[in-house]
Amino acid sequence: MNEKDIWGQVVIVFCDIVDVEKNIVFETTDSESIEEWDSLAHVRLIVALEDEFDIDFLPEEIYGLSNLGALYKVILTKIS
Amino acid sequence: MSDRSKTPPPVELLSFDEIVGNIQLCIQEKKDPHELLTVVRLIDLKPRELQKLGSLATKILKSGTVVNGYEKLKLGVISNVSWALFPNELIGKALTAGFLLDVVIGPYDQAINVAMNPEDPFYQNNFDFIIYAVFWQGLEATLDFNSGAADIYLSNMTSKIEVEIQGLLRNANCPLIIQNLTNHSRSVFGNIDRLLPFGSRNIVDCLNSKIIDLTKDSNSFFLDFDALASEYGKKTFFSAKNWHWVKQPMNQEGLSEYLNEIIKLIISIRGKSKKVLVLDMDNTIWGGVIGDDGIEGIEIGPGSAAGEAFLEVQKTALSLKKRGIVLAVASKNDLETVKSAIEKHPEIIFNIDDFAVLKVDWNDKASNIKSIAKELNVGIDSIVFIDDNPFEREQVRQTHAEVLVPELPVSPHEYSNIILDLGCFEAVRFTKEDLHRYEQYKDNAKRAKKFSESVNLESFLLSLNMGSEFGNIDDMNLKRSVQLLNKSNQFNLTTRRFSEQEVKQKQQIQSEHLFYYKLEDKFGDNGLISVLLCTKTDIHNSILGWHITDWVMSCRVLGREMEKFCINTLVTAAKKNNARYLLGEYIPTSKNSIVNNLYSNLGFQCYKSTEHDGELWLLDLDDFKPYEVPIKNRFINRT
Repeated sequence: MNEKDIWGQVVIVFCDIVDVEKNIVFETTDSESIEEWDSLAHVRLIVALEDEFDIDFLPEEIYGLSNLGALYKVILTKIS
Repeated sequence: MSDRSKTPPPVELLSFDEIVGNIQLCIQEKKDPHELLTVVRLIDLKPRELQKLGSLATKILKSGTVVNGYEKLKLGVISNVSWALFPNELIGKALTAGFLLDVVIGPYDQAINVAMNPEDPFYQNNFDFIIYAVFWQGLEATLDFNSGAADIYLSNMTSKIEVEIQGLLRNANCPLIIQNLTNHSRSVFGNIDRLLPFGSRNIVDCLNSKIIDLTKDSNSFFLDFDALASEYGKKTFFSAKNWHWVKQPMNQEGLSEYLNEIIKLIISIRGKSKKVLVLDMDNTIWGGVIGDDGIEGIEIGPGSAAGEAFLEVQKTALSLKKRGIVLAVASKNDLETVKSAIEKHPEIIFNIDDFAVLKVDWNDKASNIKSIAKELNVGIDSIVFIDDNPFEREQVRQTHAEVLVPELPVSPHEYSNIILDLGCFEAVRFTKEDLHRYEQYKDNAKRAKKFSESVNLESFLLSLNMGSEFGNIDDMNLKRSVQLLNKSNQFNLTTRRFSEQEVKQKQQIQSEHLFYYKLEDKFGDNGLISVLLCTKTDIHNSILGWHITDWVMSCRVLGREMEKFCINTLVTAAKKNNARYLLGEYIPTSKNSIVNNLYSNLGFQCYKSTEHDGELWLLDLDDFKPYEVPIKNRFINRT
């Protein structure tokens, strides 16, 4: 999986969990800009990303990480 | 021209994303998406996809889009963990089981307050069930290691649970699903923990035994969470991280298992459990191909690992049969060979009579399954089909999406466990009738045979020596009556569902008349086969009459004039109570077309018919002449 594939996969997971359309999701997307991305959706998103990429986030790593680009970068470091 | 002019691809070839897109279009245009939903059932969905499906189901509910064949349900949740994280996935799973589920979560860890306050806004929801989902993680306390402290803790906890369950039952007008506790934590005492009064395993055992008592006493439904987590393996079922992080005790796999279990319970409570297990033979209940290898050549019984595995499958099928599940065979084989194998092979534990229907021929399995359903008089959606051959599985799945066809690995060792893990034969109650159901279906097959031999229907029915015991629903037959009301889909005039409590309440009301009917014949006892609920009404010229609000009948006894017998006896009872007419009600569904002409066939006149509320039919008792029926009247008056 190259970086582009991983980003694509992050977007798919995000859209399933937060229930939004792909065309409004970018690396700059944060919880301020998407109403559906509330604290519950955030937890479900983290669990789904762990499941998808078979990784394990530490709660302190993701605390306050409500920017999709930043989440994606953490995932990249975990996978490599 | 737009893309719309092109022919769309067949629905079964769509990907999950495309199906989701199409469902969204349906919601926008308020079109029924049930065909797309049927296809979704065939896909093995990830938790995130189930969550997406859950969001869609919620939108379907909000938009008011009608989905044919999907039952709307509302579940309330009282819990001491972050249950608010679960509904999307649960609703998604419910959708793949044929339910449009709405979930309302009570305040976090406030069970006692909700239970003690009848005015709590939680109760303003019109729930079908409430689940009392209390987890040990949220109850656990650090105890001093002395028995006094343990006693006090235990007595406080016991009364807390008791007050909560009883309060919920009192205030909510719906059944409860109660789950027990499971001890997830490692003990500092190790093996002796259970021997110590303050050992946490001992404490959980004590609380669980109290929970069982409360469940039984209140007639609630039971979710054995302890068995679920233990079977899965608690080390991987729970996640300490998730608990510390967001007060959610399980990891993703554990959570999915837990939600599945809730769905299984709902399926069972709503009478959608499977009733028939259809088995293939070669390489499914024995090893090898009997037509090629001969009776001596098949692998079954002790002597080889595979033989043991197939024996296990046979044992499982037989215990399901004893529990009331009907067995049938769909096998591409020569019937005589198969019969003589079952009769002569010492290691095959089946008798030929264990199967209510044998479809052993060279027809395709999908058509054979259809005729099995027809012969047994059950819906095709009540069938589970077990076959080692992927081709056959696929053919059946493609033809009948409603039939449950589990994937099987090549090796037979897990077949028995896979059948039991389906959980689709789940029973929330086990009644005497369940024990005898097989006999009844078998008798049905016998009667069908006799029927084809007999030329004249009338004389055939007379020769059956039928007799019907009937009377007012009392405690003796309440359970079975409620079960029949809730599981009948075909002969069910209005498809309303009731809890035991609701029927009990009706018994207390003077203007309500509740009847049960049993049917016996020379082949055996069919048990309780029909329920009729009537209420007094005066909507016709302000004259007193009886309104038949609910009428269900087991399809096993159709075509035997039982309907006429019911009306005869009902008329007598109504006249005794000074009623002058009967008002029959019919609400059409996708499954009850079998009764769409029932009232008109019984001589009722159409009184009112609207598209939304169904039809009302009127029978004037002054003009009524009882039908000649081949059924003897055995009225029971216990009052």
